Amino acid sequence: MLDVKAGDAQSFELLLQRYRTPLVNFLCRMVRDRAQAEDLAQDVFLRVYRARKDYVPSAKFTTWLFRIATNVALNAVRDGRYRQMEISIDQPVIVDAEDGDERFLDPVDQHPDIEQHLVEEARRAMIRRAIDKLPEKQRVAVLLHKYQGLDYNEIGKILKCSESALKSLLFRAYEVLRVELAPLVAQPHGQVQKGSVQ
Amino acid sequence: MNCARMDKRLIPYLDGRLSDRKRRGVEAHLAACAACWLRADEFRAVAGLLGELPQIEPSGAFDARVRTRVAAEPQGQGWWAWLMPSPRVALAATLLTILVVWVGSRPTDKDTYPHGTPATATVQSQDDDFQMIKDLPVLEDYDVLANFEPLSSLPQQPEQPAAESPQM
Repeated sequence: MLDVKAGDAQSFELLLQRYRTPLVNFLCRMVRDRAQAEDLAQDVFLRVYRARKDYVPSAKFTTWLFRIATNVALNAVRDGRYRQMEISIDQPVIVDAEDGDERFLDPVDQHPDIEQHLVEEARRAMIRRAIDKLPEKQRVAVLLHKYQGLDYNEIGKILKCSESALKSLLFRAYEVLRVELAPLVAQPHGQVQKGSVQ
Repeated sequence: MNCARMDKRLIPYLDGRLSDRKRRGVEAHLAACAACWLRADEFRAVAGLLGELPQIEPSGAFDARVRTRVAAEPQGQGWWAWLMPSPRVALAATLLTILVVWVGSRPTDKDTYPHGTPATATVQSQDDDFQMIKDLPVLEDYDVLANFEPLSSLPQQPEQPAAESPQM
């Protein structure tokens, strides 16, 4: 980022390549709309570019980046500009794990594994809904902790709370998820990972 | 260790980020508390479920859109930006310029008071006031005599020509 600050365009390209996927994933899980998430991610990169002259490396770049992304996402959610995309189990979709594109199931796509696909998609829809039900701050904490792998200190700075408060926040979030996902927790799909929750 | 303290220790424990001493404390509690043991087990299951969501890749046009928007940003390196590296300096320079122009545009003493400056007029006015105060008793006597009724009933004498008036 210091190279970007110094006016090195190639360094900005490196930042774009490194953080585009984490940012789009984080924003998509916040606003539940891929196209809007990409728009917001562009806004985040633009803000980074505009603020490059004022950047002070007092914290990790990821902390700064995700603080901007969190503000952008929360503003978007609160503005209600981005409609939450409801996925109906009655209208199944297939999620292509290769590119993450969601599309409606076409009858010609039906194949012997369709039942398995439907079951998996129903599980994912339930997990997404459970995440959606978390209060904003808890949702941000879980997404940054679970999917971005940020440490407690970084997430605390992004959410402007102490490490101790963050640990309690994550605990409460997992309690909500435990209740919301109780049917899946009771009947784990395949081998549930043991060990770290991150 | 008790259940109330688990809210700050269970997640770090499951992440493997507790010190040895705290980890042993949590493990001792989990061994003794069935509710917390179940909670820890289910937290692990929840984490596994969260991991089932697929990662999304940005669309192919994403990078191009970001580059286009960045390229459209003003570079901020025009001559004014070069001349004024700081908004504070720019503000100070602007105020200074306004002050200089204002002072320069003020009319001079010669333009406003062609027959003397305000200072000269003030001195003249003070002299007149002093002279009036000095003659005030005479003026008052004249005023009393001019309005004295018995004198007004006397016949008016014709004015003597100035040349015939006796010289003092």
